[in-house]
This record gives sequence, C-alpha cells and structure tokens, in this order.
Amino acid sequence: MAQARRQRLVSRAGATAIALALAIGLLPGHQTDALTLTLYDPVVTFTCDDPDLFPSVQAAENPVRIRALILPKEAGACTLTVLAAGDLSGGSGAVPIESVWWTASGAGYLDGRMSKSAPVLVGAWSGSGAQQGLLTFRMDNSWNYPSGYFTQVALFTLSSP
Amino acid sequence: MRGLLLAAVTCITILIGAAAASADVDTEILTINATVNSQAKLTLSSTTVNFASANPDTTPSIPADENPVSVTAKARTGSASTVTLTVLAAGDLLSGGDTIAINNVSWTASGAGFVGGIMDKTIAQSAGSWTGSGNRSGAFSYFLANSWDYPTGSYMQSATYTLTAP
Repeated sequence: MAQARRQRLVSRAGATAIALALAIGLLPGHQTDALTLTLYDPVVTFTCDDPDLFPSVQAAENPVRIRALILPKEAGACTLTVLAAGDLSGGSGAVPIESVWWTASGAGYLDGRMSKSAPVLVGAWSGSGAQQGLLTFRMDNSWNYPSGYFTQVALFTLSSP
Repeated sequence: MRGLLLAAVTCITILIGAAAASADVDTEILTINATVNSQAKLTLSSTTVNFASANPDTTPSIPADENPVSVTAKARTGSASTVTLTVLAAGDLLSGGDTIAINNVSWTASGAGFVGGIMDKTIAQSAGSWTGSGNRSGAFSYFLANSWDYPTGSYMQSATYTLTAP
C-alpha cells in the first residue's frame, strides 16, 4: 500500500513538472521564443546601368517587409542591427558594401547604410508587440565599379540585453 | 516522500533554468545581389574643330580655334580589362575636287591615359587606353600642318572616336 502511495506521489510530481513545463513552453519541440524576426524578402537584387542616368538604383524587391515580434517577457529595450559579412564580391573584383543603404518606415525603424565593420542600428523598441516596418534598399552607382555579378550576405539581429 | 518532492523540485528548477537560457536573440540573413553592367560613354567639349588660313612661313602648324578640346572617357568593365579610345578619319580633307591628306592633322593630349597622334583614314589610331573602370578626363589640341602646296578652298572631313569597354 505504501508502495502504491509512493507511486502515486511520483506520478503527481512528474505531472506537476510536466504541467509547469507546458506552461513555460519548454518541452522539446514546443519552445516559444521571446523574440522573432522575420524578413519577408531575404534576397534583394540591384542592376546598375549608366551611373549618369541612375546615380543610385533601387532593389527590385522594394519595399522589403520586416517584422520584429517581441513578447511581453522581453518588453525591455530591444534592438535590431545588421552587419554585412564583407563587400559585394564577384569574379572581377568587389564593390564596397557601404554602397548599399536603406530608408525605413514603421515605428522604431531607422534609416542606415550597410557596414562590414560594425553592426548598424536598424530599429529599437522598449515595449512588446509586433513591430512592422518597411525597408527600401538602394545602391549607389558609380563608374568606378568593376562590371560583373556581385553578392554578399548581411545578418540582421534582433536582441534584448 | 521527501525524496520524491526533491526530485520534482529539481526537475522544475532545471526547467526554469532552461527557460532563462531560451532565445533572447533572433536573426535573419539578407542576401544582396548586384549586377553591374559594362558601360562606355565618351564626351568631347567640341565636336567641330576649325583651322584658319595662315602664312605657311610664319605659321607652319595651325592650331585649331577650339583648342584645347576637353574629352571625358567613362567606362565600366572588368577590373583587369583594357579600355581603349581610338579615332579613324573618314577620308582626306575635301574641298570639291581638291584634297589635303588627313595625316596633316595631328593632336597632342593631356590627362592620364590619353595619347597624341596623327589622323589616319585607314587604320584607327589610339587616342587613349586604361585598365579597369573609371571616369577619365583629358584634353586634345589639334594642329594642321601648313603648306604652300595646298589648293585654296574650304575643306571638311569627319573622324570617329570609339571608346570600348569590353
């Protein structure tokens, strides 16, 4: 009888632990992130023609929708930054990544220019919610660029301290 | 009993600890692609040059009235590719049935990469060359070799400058 009672207690303890885990959302395969960043267009494309006629060019995908989802548990100071992995690189040379810049709309979102040296602030918020924005990417055009196809990646990071 | 409660508390503590280590960061990767097309654009500040009549003894070489003529050669090409500027005359200077050989017209050049030369109606003459992309500026000054042997008249001819960015 005592053994049966012990078994019931074990079951209850286990069930309690499981219930708490479900409440926190921590069981494997059921984790809920407090911060969720979504770039609705993960690729932007530029075509540079006559620099005299087109001193800057727009990305074909403009405007790019972006959403920073901040849950209440993270409703402190959240920042969104971007850091490029290098210059735009191709077979015939490189184009400075700083030639790529954006204007932003949406509460908390900021204009900026790509950098490979230090993260650039894209947005900042102090409350929770779904922070929707639009980023319009442009690229400076120049006679000094080598011709060819160039590519690079940039990492957007949404974080709270 | 005590052991069972301890196990439950431990389990809960571990789970809460895991909660504290959950994502405070999320990331997205943006891929940036750019196609930079080859371009070539040539500009001359004057597309007509005129040589006034002069005494061959006192003016053996007649400068064009428009000297110097500014030239801008803009080109976008591969970083190791050669950009060339050439000029080819369409023929000799003509005035009715009279001619003055076009190779009596020459030019000097200033500006990095620009070179002087003598007009030719058969083989395109180099007027400049560069490596890679860029916006190059210079100037050409044109001269007509003077001579008592020229028939009088008003002579004309055209020459085509070609800027090539491969």
